[in-house]
Amino acid sequence: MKTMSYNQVELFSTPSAPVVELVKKLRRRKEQGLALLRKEMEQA
Amino acid sequence: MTSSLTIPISTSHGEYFIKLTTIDPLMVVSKDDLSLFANCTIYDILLACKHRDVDVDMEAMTSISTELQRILNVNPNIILYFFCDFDGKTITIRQRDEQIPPQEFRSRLFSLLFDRAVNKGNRNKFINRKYVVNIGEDGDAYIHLIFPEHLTRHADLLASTIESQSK
Repeated sequence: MKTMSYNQVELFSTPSAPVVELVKKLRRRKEQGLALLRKEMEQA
Repeated sequence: MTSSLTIPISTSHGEYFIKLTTIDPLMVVSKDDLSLFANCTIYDILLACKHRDVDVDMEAMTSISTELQRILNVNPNIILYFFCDFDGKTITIRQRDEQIPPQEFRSRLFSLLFDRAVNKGNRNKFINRKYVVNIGEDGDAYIHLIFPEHLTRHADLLASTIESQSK
C-alpha cells in the first residue's frame, strides 16, 4: 500500500536572507509576467 | 531559450487565460545536473481572467482543471511551477475569506484545481508540493511544484539547488 502523500507541504518559517531575496525576485517575476499577460489579453 | 504558449478558456461568465512559459534548467540547476533535465521541461504557469470583476466560478474551475489535466496527460515529463500572486485586487472579496491573504487563497485554489484534475482519472500519479516561505512583513509566499511521481528526484534537485545557490 502506498503511503506517499500527493499533497506535500514544506515550510520555511525562518528562511535565510538569500532565500527571502530569491522569493521576492520570483514574486517580481510573477507580477511582471501577469502584467504582460494582461496586455496580451487586452489585445486578444 | 524560452518559449511560451497561451491557452484561452471561454466560459459563460468570462474569458480566462493560462500561459505556460518554459524555464531554462540552467537558471536553476548546475551544468553537472543538466543532463537529468534533458527530457524534462519546467513550465511557469500564469492564470488570469480578462475581466477583473468576474468571479472564478465552478464552470471556470472545471474548465481550467480540465485543461491542466490535459497538459499533464499530454506531457508526461513536465514540472509545473506556480507562484501565488499577492495581488488582492484581482480577487473579489465575496470570493475569498477575508481572513486569509490573497496568495494563500490562490494556493488553496490551485491545490483544489490540482485535486480536481488528479481526481479525474490521474489519482496517485502526480504530486502537488507546496513551499510556504515567510518573507517578513509581507507574510508568507506560496509556491507550488506539480510533477509526476517519476520526476520526484528532479523536483528535489530543483529545490535543493535553489536553496544552495541562495546561500
